Amino acid sequence: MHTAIQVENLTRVFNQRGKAPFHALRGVSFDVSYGEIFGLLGPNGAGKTTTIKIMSTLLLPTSGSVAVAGFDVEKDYARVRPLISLISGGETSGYGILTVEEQLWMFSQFYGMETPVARSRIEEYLKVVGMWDSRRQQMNRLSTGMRQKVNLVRGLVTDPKVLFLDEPTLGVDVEASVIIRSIVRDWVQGKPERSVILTTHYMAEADELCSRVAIINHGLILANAAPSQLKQDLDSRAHYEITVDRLDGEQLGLITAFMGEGNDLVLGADKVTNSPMLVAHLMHESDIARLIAALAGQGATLEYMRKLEPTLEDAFLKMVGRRFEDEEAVSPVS
Amino acid sequence: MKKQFLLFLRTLNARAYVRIFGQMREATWVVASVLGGFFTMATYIYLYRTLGTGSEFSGLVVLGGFMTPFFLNVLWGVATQLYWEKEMGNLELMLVSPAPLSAFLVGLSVGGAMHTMLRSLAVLFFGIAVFKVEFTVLHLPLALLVFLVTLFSMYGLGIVFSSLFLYHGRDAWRTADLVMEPTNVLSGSYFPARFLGVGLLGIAALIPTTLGLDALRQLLVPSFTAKVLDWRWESLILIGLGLVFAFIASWALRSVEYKARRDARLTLRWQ
Repeated sequence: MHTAIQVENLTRVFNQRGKAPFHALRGVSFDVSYGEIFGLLGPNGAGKTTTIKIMSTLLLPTSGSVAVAGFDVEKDYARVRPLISLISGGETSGYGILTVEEQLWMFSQFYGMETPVARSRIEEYLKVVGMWDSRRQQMNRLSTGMRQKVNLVRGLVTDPKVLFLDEPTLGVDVEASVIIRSIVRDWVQGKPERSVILTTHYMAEADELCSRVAIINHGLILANAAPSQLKQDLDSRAHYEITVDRLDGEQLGLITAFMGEGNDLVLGADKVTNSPMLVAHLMHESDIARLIAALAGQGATLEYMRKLEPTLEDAFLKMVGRRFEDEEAVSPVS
Repeated sequence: MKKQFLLFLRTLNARAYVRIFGQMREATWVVASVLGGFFTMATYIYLYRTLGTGSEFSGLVVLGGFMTPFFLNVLWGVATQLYWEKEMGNLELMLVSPAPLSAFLVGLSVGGAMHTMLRSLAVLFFGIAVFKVEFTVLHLPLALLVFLVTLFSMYGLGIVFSSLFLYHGRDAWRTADLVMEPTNVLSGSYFPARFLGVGLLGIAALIPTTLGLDALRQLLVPSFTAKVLDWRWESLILIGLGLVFAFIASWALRSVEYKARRDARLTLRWQ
């Protein structure tokens, strides 16, 4: 079997006292294969966390079905639970009074692991995240980054088939984020029957880690494809930023006419050097050669040039209509 | 089946570990709770001595001082615990794990009882040493048995309440605060429960401490005569209560988990 998760026509309605029912999910369908890191992207209240909570057996769907490793999360939840782990960003789970290794051992026992096996895996993963020397520190004395590394180890020690990562690098410094991403990637590649479901606010993180992402908004999946595909679908034109030593409006008009219809040129100024800067949106990649020749024909010398690649955030913005940072929480389980 | 049993035991052991060893690290709290129990006990002993009552009253107060920490542990350490686990973010992880909720609760009951035992023994020791209270050891094995039966029933009640607390959240928390003193009075910690009268005793008998303490006083305080029922009957009632609580707790935990998943209550803090 190659499908780690199968979500079909999933809906979830929250009844709120004195308010209209909130439709968190309105018919969501997707599947995740083993070996995949699958991203769920969406603004607050889009339905990401609700989806994760249903997949991880914490919440019942209103309708539709979810199967994890072939087991229905509603009826066979007891068979799903040994196969999954959930790690949330900024979580303060566990007991501050315990040491790092005591805390990890305690959670391993909740999965019925034999103590020697658990201790061996704890050692292995604490060394991977660079926290073996901190194993005897009490949890309440750890920094946010260290705490999140411990949470990651907690999720991995039980060797789940499906790992749910809900904003795993939230509030974590750059160095710890890099380590966490690297470990997640290596972990998935470590065995064929492993997969990760990731929700994140960091587009670059999703772009770097995920083989596929689903963009979700208002409880609906708007797109489900590889990040590269989503970016490609965004715009087929080639975009360049070119700084030259001199170029005026009249020369720009001549070059625009020379380039022909469909090629847009916008003249501005470089923020650092104040030199003329041309932003070119070209129909074809090959048109860049003609543009450089046209600039040279006008006596402009090239100072700097770079290709502008569309980002996953651009794709998100186009589909959702707003950036993550523009959001406000609207869902009861965001 | 064996795998499930081992999972239950391992979860129980791990959760009990936190209670026994984790809380030992909070030395100031341990000392404060022992001193608090001792001073409450001392107040009642001095009160009885001032009133010129018999020496058996000092004995029943010391036994009350010994049992009270268990009652407080049941109320604040078991009944409210699932609610606190939810607030700390642990409950989600407990539920996502394959371990049953009952294993966590039995674990924290066992751990809580063992941890409380140390504090209670300290209170008992100081009571005996400072106030020269005498107990008979003739029936010590029977007293131990009655004590264990009382704990079984008390912690069973705590597990029943934990489901209610989880589902009703802060409302239940406030209720616990509200009922703590009345139930403390009804359990007759520092006076013979018989003086409550038949009507109140009917209610008080549902609190396992009431009959448990009365039975222990009969077995350990030689001159204690103000019993409610014979200790044998009280022990049987406690066993019955414990079994009923265990049955209700098992049903309530399953029911509350289902309702919580249905209503999203496990996923929302501050509810």
